[in-house]
Amino acid sequence: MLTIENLHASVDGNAILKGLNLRLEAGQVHAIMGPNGAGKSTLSYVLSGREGYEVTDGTILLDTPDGAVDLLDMEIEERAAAGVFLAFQYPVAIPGVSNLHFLRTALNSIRKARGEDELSGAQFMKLARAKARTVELPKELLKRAVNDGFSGGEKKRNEIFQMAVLEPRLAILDETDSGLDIDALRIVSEGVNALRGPERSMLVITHYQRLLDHIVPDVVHVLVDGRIVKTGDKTLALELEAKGYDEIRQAAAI
Amino acid sequence: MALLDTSRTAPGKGVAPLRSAAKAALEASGLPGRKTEAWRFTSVRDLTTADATPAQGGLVVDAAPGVDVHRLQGELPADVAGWLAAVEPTLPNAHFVALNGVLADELVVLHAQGHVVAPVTVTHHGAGEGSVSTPRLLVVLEPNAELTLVERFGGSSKGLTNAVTQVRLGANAGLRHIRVHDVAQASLIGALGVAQERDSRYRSLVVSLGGRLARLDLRVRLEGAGSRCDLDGLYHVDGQDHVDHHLRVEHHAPHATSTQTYRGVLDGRGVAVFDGQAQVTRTGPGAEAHQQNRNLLLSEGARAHTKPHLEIDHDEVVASHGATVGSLDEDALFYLRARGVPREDARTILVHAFLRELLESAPTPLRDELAAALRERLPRGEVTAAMELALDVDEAKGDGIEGDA
Ligand SMILES: Nc1ncnc2c1ncn2[C@@H]1O[C@H](COP(=O)(O)OP(=O)(O)OP(=O)(O)O)[C@@H](O)[C@H]1O
Ligand SMILES: [Mg+2]
Repeated sequence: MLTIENLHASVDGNAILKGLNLRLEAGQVHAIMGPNGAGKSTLSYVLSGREGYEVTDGTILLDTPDGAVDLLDMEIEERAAAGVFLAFQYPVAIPGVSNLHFLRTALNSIRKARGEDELSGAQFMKLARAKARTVELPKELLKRAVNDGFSGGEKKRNEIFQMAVLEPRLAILDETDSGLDIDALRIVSEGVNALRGPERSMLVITHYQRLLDHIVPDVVHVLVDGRIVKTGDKTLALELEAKGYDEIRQAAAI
Repeated sequence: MALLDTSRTAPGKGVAPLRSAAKAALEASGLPGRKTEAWRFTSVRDLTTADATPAQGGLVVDAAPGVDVHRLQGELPADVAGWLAAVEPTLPNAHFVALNGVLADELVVLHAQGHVVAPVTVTHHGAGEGSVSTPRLLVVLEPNAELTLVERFGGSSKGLTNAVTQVRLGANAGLRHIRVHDVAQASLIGALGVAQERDSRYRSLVVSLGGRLARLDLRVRLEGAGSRCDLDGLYHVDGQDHVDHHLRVEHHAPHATSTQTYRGVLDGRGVAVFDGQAQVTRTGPGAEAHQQNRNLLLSEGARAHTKPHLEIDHDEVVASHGATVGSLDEDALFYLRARGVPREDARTILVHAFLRELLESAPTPLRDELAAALRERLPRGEVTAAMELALDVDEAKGDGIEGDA
């Protein structure tokens, strides 16, 4: 589904990603763990095409029904239309724009870009109501301005709600679990698990092994200083939590 | 004949008491020039030097039951003369108000009592090329009266409209006042003076949709205790548009409140001037005054001049003021695009939302009309139409959709 080779990226001239390789098969969930400042969010921004993140080397290929596409050649919204979705570490508030109107516009923009019919208001509302239930997002939040005055947990649930409506091929979840209490974590995880499927792949960025009890990954990567330094199965997360990153840093001689 | 000279040969009998007072004032003040402080950022040189011919009349009134409309010339009846005298000190922009006083060929009076349910609309379509029109409106609300007034200024050709509106609110009266400046290639210089008695409420929304020149001088005198004014405004400039809003609120009584909330979006080589003043002196206790002006600058060539200022002589006043000139929120833009909304659409959605918030309190269907007028001025503006659709989350209401296209 996603093939990243030798990815180098910098911000303001500072190299952040320094030769990152990663291969994510269709239907798989990979977790990425790593210390603060390792470049996890940077990777998510480079994948989604954020301005200010300069790719100096490497390739990123995404499989689509029309064959593999080079994400680095595409605009932010073109990537979204190709099926890339980023659940933000810090979702942005947009005063004056209602959550529902925003999401309908997003969905219809994507459908239009794919040559599909746009959804009418009624069709969209049916879909939105059903999806909102899966993450127990209160109706009032649907009507409010996007993330405006939402609590931390509400913002994260709203991200997963949007993901459920947009049905991406590649979902990148950047610390979707951070700051959630155990109930909210369960709700969000169930929402994510419901979206797992053979045609959808996920990159789950987290600091906490706890999340991976709920969203069980196929593969766990450790990202340190802009590179994947270790890859393993879900037991690697337990090991990291017990021993911290120092041992891995030393083993990788960083 | 240059603009000032028109006053020397003013045709017809005009409005006698206005004309005699204004003639002397105009001789003394002349028209503003390069050095006139209040006109620092807005040049009227083109207007004052070009040939001008006075045009007649021009106010179209669409009245409602509960409002008496008078169109007066020559000498005025005693009650009207009394009302005029009472609002006279509130008028801003002496130069153009004087010119209007000399040239105005009629005084249109709206006199409201009780609760007037339907809105009253007063329209001015603008003067023809090379002419100057000088509409003059007096709005009087008796104590406890309630009225919604919509003033529309249009412009189909390149003339100058020099408009003066005076408002007097009796005790506990409430006026919702919406002014639409949509003058295209024409020029509008408007003065608006409001005098408020005890416990009266004045709520104004000024919408300036670009234009070669759209200037408003608005002055409110809070004369009675417990009176309140809320002055909202929004503007959009593009191309060579130039808008200018000068506000001045004077607190003269205790427990009075004033707010000024203006927002604008500037594109192309557009210019917007905001000068907001609130003066709170010797009022006694309970005064509150707030001012805010926010500008969104979308292009390098656009210019915003903003100056909110408070003049306060004692500590008990609750007051705030602020001005910002910023660009679009890049984080919000990225968020929208990352969800699939194309760049241009995302920009327009953010711009529209920024202005739209101030329209929220306007009565329908005017609100929808203004939202549509804004939409038409924005690139890919049609995307915001989807933002107006009523999406109802309540399943009890059938499919929950009203008015889907
Ligand atoms: N806009 C920026 N300008 C300068 N440096 C930046 C910018 N964004 C990120 N960085 C730097 O890049 C490095 C990686 O940051 P990134 O946010 O990708 O880390 P992270 O792994 O997501 O960390 P965390 O776990 O704290 O979220 C950090 O050293 C950070 O300071
Ligand atoms: Mg991060």
